[in-house]
Amino acid sequence: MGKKKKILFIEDERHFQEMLDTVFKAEGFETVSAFNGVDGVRMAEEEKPDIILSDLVLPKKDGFNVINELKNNPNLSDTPIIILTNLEESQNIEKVISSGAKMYLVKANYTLDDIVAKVKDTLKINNKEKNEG
Amino acid sequence: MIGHLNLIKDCRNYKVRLWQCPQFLFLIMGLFIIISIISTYYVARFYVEPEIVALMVLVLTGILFVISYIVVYSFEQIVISSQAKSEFVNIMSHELRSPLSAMKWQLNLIQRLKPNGEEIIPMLAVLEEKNEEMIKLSNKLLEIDQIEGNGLTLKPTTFSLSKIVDTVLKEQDGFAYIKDITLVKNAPKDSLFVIADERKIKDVLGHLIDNAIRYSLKKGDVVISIEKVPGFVKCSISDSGIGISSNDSKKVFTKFFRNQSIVSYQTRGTGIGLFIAKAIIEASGGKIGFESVEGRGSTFWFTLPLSTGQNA
Repeated sequence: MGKKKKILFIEDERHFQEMLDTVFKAEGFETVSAFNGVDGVRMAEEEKPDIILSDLVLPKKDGFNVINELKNNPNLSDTPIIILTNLEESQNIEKVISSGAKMYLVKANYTLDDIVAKVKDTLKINNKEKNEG
Repeated sequence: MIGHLNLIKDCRNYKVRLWQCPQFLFLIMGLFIIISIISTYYVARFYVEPEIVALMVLVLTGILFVISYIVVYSFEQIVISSQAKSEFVNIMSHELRSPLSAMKWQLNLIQRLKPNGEEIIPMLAVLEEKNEEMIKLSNKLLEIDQIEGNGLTLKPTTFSLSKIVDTVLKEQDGFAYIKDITLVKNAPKDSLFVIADERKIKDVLGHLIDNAIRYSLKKGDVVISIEKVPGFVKCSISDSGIGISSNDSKKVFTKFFRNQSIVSYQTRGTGIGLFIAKAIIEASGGKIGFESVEGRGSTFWFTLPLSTGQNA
């Protein structure tokens, strides 16, 4: 499989953060975490993760601004972002997807297993795109 | 007469004031139109000058205009409250989803990892905490319903405010530790006794201290002071947090968030805690308020009636 895939979580709730960390480490990922939007953007620049999981309700900088900043950064604009939140999908999904996020997942509707599967899918699709391009 | 009695009952059911109640306004309008027609007829019989009749019609039209304005205003209020309700449902569903999804993930993790003995204990603790969070949330919802309906049911007793503060500080210790906040208590040596519903006051204190910790962005102190003021005991909670902008300060004690979405608040919270706190303190015969400088911090305070009996 080669190098470990690196995943960045931008999530301010400690429990969610810890559970994501546990499950993705068990799946063989390298994990890094940020507890607010400002740190999230900074860590994305420093750590260059393969994929980013971000909440929308975040201290200091909300998820919408995080997506915009990451997508406007030429070094990070290709990094897939999955939004993982409990905010109602219908009101935000369009805004999030048009800003460049890959997926909008409502935490309450997915188990950790589902989320792992979605992340793996996204990375695979991404590799294919790169190979084709 | 019976119709009139039903009218008051209807208006009470709608939870609006009498002058905002559609049935009442309709009745007034009807009566007014009948009186207008009759009086115009009589005035026109006795005064032949068209100016007087014209003036009278003008006055009557003016009054009708005012009543119509009240009808439109009431309708507007209904629309605003319906919008606020839907925003509230939106916020509440987010608040419910949060502990529910944490429980879902934790259960999923337990199934995955199959922990044994010691390992499962912290995982169960998360489930317990999230379960408690949901219970508190449902209690808050019921309290809101009580406040809006027949009023809060309080069970006042005499108790030491200082002791309750100690209990709440112990409960909040963990949260303060995570946020690198030191909780400091300033209270006189002699216990000050107050008359209020002990459990509800504990909720209020819990909420105010939780807020003070939550909105402190950097390392600092949260200071809880208790002092005697004439006839009352005053409790203040000061933080060096983000503070409240003058724009938001008017909305602090109102029930629902309006204009701004949850995202822009950048932290979780229903926005009902302070609304409930205000209702509890005021129903207990006290006052609640705050002073705040944006970027410097806030001090929330409340007063409760001093119990003279036990504090002699």
